[in-house]
Amino acid sequence: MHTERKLPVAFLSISLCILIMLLTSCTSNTNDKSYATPKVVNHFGEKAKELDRKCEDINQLNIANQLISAAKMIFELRTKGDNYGELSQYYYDNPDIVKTEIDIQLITTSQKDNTGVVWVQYSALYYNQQNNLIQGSSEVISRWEIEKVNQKWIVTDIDDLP
Amino acid sequence: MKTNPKINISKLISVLIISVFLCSMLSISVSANTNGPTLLRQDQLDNTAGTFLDKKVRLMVDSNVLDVQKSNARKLKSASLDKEASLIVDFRREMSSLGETYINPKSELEVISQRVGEDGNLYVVANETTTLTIAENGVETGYSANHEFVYSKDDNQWVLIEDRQLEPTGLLPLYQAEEFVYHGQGDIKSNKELETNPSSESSENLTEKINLIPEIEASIDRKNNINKDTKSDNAKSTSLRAPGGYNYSAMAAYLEKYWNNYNKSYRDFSKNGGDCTNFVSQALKAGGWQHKSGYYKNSNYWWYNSTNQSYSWINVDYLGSFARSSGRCKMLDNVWKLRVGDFLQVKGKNSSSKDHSMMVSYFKNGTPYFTYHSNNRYRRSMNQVLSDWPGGTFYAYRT
Repeated sequence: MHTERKLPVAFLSISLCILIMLLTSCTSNTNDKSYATPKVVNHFGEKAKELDRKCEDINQLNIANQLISAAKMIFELRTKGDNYGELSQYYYDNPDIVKTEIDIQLITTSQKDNTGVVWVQYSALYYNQQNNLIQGSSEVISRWEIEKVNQKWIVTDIDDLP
Repeated sequence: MKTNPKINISKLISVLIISVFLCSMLSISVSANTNGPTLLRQDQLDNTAGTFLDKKVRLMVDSNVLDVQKSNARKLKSASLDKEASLIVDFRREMSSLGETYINPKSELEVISQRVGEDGNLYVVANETTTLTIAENGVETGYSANHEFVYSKDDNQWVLIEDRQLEPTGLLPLYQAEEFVYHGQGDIKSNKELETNPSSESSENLTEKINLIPEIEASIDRKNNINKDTKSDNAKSTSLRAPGGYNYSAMAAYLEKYWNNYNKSYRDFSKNGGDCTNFVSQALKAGGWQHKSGYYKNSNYWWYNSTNQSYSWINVDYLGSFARSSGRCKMLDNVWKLRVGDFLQVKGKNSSSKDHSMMVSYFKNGTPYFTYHSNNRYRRSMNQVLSDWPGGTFYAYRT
């Protein structure tokens, strides 16, 4: 009797799961993010093709993530980042800022020998004492050129999608 | 006590099949935009309303076409149809006397929605796109306009009985075409959005000339601009609407409200070339800019409705052209003169056309701050913008 009850329950559960999956795929917009929108391609040109190359090299990913961590500190105004090359331009010098909300996601990276490129997407919100937003950037795609100088990776050029 | 496992399995398979079927029906109903079993097919629309419009358009081409009604089995219910036809013929003659005649008329209809009313009639909202070629120079001209076609049932067939123009067509001068716009049922939003301001638009239409202000590149030099701008920060009112002017604080408020959470009342073009100009247009509308209806590809017009928009609403170059041709803007010679409600356009260093539009939402200590779309930026300073576009060419518009 137990077995008789379990089987129908199992089949019903599977049916429901399939139904939910089908519903989700029918009604939702595709969630696969394509970064190479016409605007991106228009701005970055041929370099936009780098976005399609997914990096799975752990060492390269580590290097990219280290630079992202440094960038986050700079965005958060915890350091000016002078020893990270061009990342220092992300330091937003404004005495009114008391709170920051920063998010930087790695899109992909590619390195060879001592040079490479890192693609990120970042959002940065800055608030004053009254919790008013005083400046913001949302989901900005940026291409960083990186180089290993004196055993340290730095960013040598930043190209933010305007 | 023992149940037949085959029966159980077959029942469960039935449940599975029904689930899949329900899901399919649900997905069909989600994507469907028609209801009711007996609606008009595209070919039926083309053979009825399409033929009727074709006849009307041909009034601009062929002087022998006089009776538009002959295109339909039943006389269309329209007291003004004869009057409209007569005016179109007059307009054709007037344009001919100015050396402009037309050939190659082409009309297309696209169904937007259909419904069967309580009276049993079928109401079909469709978008007409018509083009004509100017015979003397080969230039294509045209217009786009929504209609609500009304059909009644006759011997199990839909028969066209009325054409309700929801927007002015281009077969007449605008001030005449607006007389024939239907203001009853139908796409009320389109009707309201296309109302013109009687104090400015209609008189403008009667004597409309293209008054194209030359496009001036704005200098980015700040030093030479300090203290030379005769307009102080207070000169451009940011609170109340100045006479004949716009509500700049409303523009700024709109920008800063929707800079990241887009206004769902408008379509989003961020994945189709960028949403920047669309966003600027929305802010301009919020600050009092009125629609100027006309052929959507013509930069002399600027409008948006539930199904379409003019090029000038979403395209950087077209908005710039409209801003100048309409006389609604003047050009500034220096970017540091921009104030709240003004907008800036930029052509990248290696670009052949303009790339971006952005509007000033905040001004402080001599610095304009821009809030714009794709990428979404809130109060990006003039200095930051200049660094975003090294070597770029800037065009500054005072609204």
